[in-house]
Amino acid sequence: MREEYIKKVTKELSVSRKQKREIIRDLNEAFDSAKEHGETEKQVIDRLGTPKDFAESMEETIGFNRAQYRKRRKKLLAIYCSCGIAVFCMICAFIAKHSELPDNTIGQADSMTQITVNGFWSFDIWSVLLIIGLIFAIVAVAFIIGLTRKKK
Amino acid sequence: MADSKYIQQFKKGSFEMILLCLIAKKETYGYEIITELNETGGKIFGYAKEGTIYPMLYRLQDAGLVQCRIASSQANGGQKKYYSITAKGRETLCELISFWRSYTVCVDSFIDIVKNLEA
Repeated sequence: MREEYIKKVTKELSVSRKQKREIIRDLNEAFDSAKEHGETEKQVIDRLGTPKDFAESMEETIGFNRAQYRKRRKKLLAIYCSCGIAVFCMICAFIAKHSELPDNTIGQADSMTQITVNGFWSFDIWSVLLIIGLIFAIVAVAFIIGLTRKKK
Repeated sequence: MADSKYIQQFKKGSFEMILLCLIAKKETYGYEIITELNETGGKIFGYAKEGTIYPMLYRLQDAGLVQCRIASSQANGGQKKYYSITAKGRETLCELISFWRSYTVCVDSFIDIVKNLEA
């Protein structure tokens, strides 16, 4: 009962790792002390309220805004994702560019041939990847600027 | 009535000072603070619980008004966090108490005006 309660509180708390450790330590102490004074685990839990209520009251009074934190976390995730996609696209573009055959290479002919090779698309795939990569890089930079500006 | 918005605000404003008083009296720990609060003032300002007291203790600690040490408890084999007041905390408490005294006198004088009108 106690373990389950503490586990749920741990899950609910959106605070720094250090604060979380502190709160869980204190919560354990609360259970220990209550037991020492003859209180049952159920009595303690009844007093503490639901794990969500307890977690929220801890966050509120710590001067922490849950909604703001969630929003910030979403923005950070967007930055990581766009950075990831940008890097991925650029690596792909690099590989695509370097695995292309040089112009006029057909077999091992000694002289120029009349055969031209066209890809499936009439444009180079690497340049498309590069453009996508750049777009995502710009998006990531825009997000970062937005996030740091708001901080001030 | 005890849960009206105005009374909540009174409580909010004075709870940290009350905690400082309890910690200034002697080194103490969470559960003891809550028990003492409830025994002395439970009827007046409602029964305190961990969810409200702990964050206040964290704030007092962050402000350097109280300090804590963790010691293993012989009674239950676990650990206890003992809070004690710092020099800065004592100074702040003195200021708060003298403010509280003049504050109540001031508030009382307003109350007296109404009381005299009623009489």
